[in-house]
Amino acid sequence: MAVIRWTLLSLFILSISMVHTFAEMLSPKAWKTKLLFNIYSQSSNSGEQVYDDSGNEDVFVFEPMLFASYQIDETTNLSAHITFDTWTAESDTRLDGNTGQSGKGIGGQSRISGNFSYSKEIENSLWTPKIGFSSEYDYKSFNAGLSWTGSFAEDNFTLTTSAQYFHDSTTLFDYVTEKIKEPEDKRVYSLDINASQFLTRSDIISFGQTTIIQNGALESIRNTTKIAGVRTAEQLPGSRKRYAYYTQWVHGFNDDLALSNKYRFYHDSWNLKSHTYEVSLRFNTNEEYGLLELSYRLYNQSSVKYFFNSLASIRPNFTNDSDLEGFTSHRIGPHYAYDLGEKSVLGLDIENLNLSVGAYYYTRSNDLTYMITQFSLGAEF
Amino acid sequence: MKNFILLLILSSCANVKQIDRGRLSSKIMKLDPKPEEQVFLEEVNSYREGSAGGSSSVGGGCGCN
Repeated sequence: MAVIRWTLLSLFILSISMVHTFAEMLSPKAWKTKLLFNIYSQSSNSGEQVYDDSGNEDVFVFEPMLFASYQIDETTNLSAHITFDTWTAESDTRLDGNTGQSGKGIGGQSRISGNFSYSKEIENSLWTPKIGFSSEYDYKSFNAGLSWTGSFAEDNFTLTTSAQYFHDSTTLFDYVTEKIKEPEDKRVYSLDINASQFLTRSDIISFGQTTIIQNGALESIRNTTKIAGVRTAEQLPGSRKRYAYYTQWVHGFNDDLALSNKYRFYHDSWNLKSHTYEVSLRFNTNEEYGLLELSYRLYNQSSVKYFFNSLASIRPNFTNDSDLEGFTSHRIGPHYAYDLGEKSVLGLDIENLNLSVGAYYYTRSNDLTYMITQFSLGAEF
Repeated sequence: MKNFILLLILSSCANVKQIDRGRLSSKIMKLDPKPEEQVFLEEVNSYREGSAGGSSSVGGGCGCN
């Protein structure tokens, strides 16, 4: 009881007392844009959920993202984030190819998504309503959200609350008739509360809590479990309640070197628990025109209670999805960003042109690895 | 109770004056110095791991390949 009371009191304090987004406001009539290219290459032969017993979970994704932000006046900002993905996924290809759904394996797929937000600063508060959409062959999403950021104690302390609603639909596969089913509803509600505080001239801390409730069809089109030797589509409960508690501490050793430590504890109603720890060392280079970040992320999760490699007889709920199995993972990589300063490009005076590059290697104890490469070009004008 | 008091203190003090925030305004001190790049990294985490929260990815809006 005491623990519950302490948790409620802590959350209450967090909720009244939180993120330094005001600094992101631009000069009036200014544009900030960034074109980011993401390349994702995944390799695995141990995905026991894959339909054809190959275990092949190889995925290649090319995902350009465009970010644009326009400052209407001193207190009003419009932002947009557009994403286009194209990918090949062996598990999809094999599902489709083996069932003859399209007569041949899916060679390539695509998704387009967009998010649009409007921010208005009123006294010490920043209000940001936003809407978004996403569309791909087996999934569609429309979402809306509202976030509020308050700044207190001479901007030493900021509090942010953010609520989002996803009105999604997902398409599943009927392995008996070997036909794509009609889209089924999925709804997601999330609430995040985050507080950050300048502790000293060289220290910032932040705490937060996220609650996510998912209802509806929570299965994936491509996951199967062997039941008495027969591949059967995964069956998961129609609801999942998810909770994350996270904290971050950034400490500056001097003007050019800082260390960031992040930790998150997560648990949900499917009995999955996880711990995430991420440390990054950051360097200012080239008289603060350059930023080098070296990061390492350690993640450990237990499996969901519905996870089975195979079953002798059917149960109400089961999955063999390797992403929901217990495992430990490591991710390591550098990121480098450089401000080129003022430039004139095609007659346009750019106030600041910047470039960035990053690369990350990830390995999971259940034999899955991936590599992410990122390049970006940004401009403020 | 001690933790609660500590949280209360941390939540209500004006520790650092504007004039002393030179280092705090540096990119290396930001909670997230690469927010755009982080969007994709978090999206991948939400695909490949069973957890969500504490980031921009909250388990909606994607098919999660």
